[in-house]
Amino acid sequence: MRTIRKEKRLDKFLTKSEEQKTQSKDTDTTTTSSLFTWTGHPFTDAGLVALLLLSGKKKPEELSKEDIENVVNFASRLYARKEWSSGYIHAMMLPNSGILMANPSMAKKRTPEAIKKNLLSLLNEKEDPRAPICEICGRRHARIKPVYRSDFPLVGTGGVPNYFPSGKDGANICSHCLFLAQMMPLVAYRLSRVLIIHAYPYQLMLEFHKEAIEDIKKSELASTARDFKRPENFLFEKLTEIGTKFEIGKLENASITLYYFVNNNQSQEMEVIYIPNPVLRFVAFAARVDRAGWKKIVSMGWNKGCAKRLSKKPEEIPKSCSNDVYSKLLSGGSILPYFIDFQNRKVNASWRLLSFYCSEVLGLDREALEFIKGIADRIVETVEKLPDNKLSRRIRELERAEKLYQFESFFIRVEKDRQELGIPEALMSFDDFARILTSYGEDLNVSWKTVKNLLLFRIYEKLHDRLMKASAEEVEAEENEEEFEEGGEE
Amino acid sequence: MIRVKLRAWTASFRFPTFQSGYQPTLPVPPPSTIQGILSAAKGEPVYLTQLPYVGYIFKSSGKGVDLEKIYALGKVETDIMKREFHYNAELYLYLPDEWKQYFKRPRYQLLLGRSSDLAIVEEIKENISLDEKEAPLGGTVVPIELGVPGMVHALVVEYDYSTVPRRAKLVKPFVVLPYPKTAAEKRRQTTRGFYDSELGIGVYLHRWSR
Ligand SMILES: [Zn+2]
Repeated sequence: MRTIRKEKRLDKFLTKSEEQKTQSKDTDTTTTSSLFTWTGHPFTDAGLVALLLLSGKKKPEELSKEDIENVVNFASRLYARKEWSSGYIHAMMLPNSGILMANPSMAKKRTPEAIKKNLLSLLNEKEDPRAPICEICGRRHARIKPVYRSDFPLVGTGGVPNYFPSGKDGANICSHCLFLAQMMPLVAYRLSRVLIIHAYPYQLMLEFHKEAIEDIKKSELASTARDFKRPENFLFEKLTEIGTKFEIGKLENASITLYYFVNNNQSQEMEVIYIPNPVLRFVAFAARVDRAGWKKIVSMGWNKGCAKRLSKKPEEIPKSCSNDVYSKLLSGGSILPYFIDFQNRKVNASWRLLSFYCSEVLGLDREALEFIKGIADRIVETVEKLPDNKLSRRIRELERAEKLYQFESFFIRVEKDRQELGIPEALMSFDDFARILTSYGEDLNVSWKTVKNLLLFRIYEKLHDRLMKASAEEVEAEENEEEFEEGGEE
Repeated sequence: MIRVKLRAWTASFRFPTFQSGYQPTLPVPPPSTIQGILSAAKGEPVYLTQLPYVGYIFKSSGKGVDLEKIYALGKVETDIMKREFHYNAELYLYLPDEWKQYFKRPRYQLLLGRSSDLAIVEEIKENISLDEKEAPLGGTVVPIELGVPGMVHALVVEYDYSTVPRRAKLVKPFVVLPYPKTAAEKRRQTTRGFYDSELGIGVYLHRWSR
């Protein structure tokens, strides 16, 4: 391994490696010739998405002046309508907007022509080289007229200038970025707040906002995201649909951030929901290889009270209720228990999906997973030779193991079963035993309880029918006969 | 190369344009905050585009939301703002050797965000050597071209302080990479680069002077 101590060598290495990297990756952020570029800001990027989708183009440099004028015509016609102007733009995004004439005092003068004129004049606004550069794109000079939250969502007002440098003049945003922000209402989803799905690579952002444009074309109203009430539910639903189209490789470096906000005179709120890349890839993978399994997993996560309230309108549940599976995936918690239906002693998804989840999201290495699977298969090989009632009881011991010593004694019992049944070779070596009990405790997500769930998954997968038959018979017979006491005080 | 460790009870890094009502914090400081810290330490405006390199790693124990009463400038009026903040924050800076003197005796207060996010210099380590290898990155921002997945956002690299008000000098879209928490996140954020074996994390050295 090369160690770098001197600054000169460091510089050399950096120059070289960065050049190589820039060459090998696509350079969609570095094009400077076109009128618009991706900036990395969710609002201007959303405006660009609107331009592209309405023009049937894929890249900013493909946009012609004509395309832009067509979109401006389209937008102005909608924005002049009351449903858009006071009902949406003023109420949720750009309160008192002068550019889009959503300011209630402008109601009489508001026409598509007047709005169009305002929008095009932004694009023709002369740049002043003495003005600072735009803090969003860094390419142009900021406009001279101060930019406040009536023209660009959430940037603050002149009324409370505390967060502008030196307390004056609004945000430094150029006329082109400002223009793009005015196109954002076209692609935004209207839930109880406004939702922008900012995705990289940007191609993915086009995919996620296509539906909004399609809705507008149909109804001439902003998309309500199929009446979803929760942005994350809508995202996961869409991701499942889009995931079937995308190969996993395409999502290799993808990221999504949800910006869920409202910006009006009464309140300004913003929620930023980041979807980690492993989660993205997992959901896309699930949609492709085991959609039924993924559906079952999700169906176990709905908030019980909410699902009960909506039991007469089950189609509302995915739109309105919170889901534990989603929130665990977003917060880095484990959803492993949702792969298993403990009550019915069966699995909700395939081993393949489980394995992808464990390795890609939980971070369990594949070799460890195979090791646990091997142990589970040897347990199956042993207990399947037991009579039904004994089989069911043995597995129940594993199901009920809440403490490490209970987990341990399960293996010892299976080992005894093996001897009694005359199966050659031990269930596992001492080293394996130690490994399975203690090796997976470092990470909160990968403890012995993870191992327990994985073992049960495999056992249910193989022995579900017999276990169900046996547990039905067992119910009356063994109600009072527990092998060990349950739980403790903990 | 030296490594300076700063610590603060709280830290908050506003998204550049979200300043109405609720101010979420970025997962890590933007480069312009690093510029502010270096400038405060040295006692004069410092420009990242003039440094041979600068690297940083940020982590915290968690996040919370504070209610903040502000007195509107120039008015007899107050407002309540919700501000998200990091709790128990640490920032490691990787800098050329000459920076040791400035962090030994910083000229002005060092802040991890706002004026209430006061930081102390906990350690200055000299002769830091970084291995070149496959390493997990995080707690920093990296160029989009690096191809590492994370939240993409436009950020100011540095401000020009020769005028009032200050002006942005360089703006770029970055991948904002939170400090990786799980093995899976580490794996996704791994790329060839420099590695600080003591901290167990990759270090991206920015070189904006090119
Ligand atoms: Zn701009």
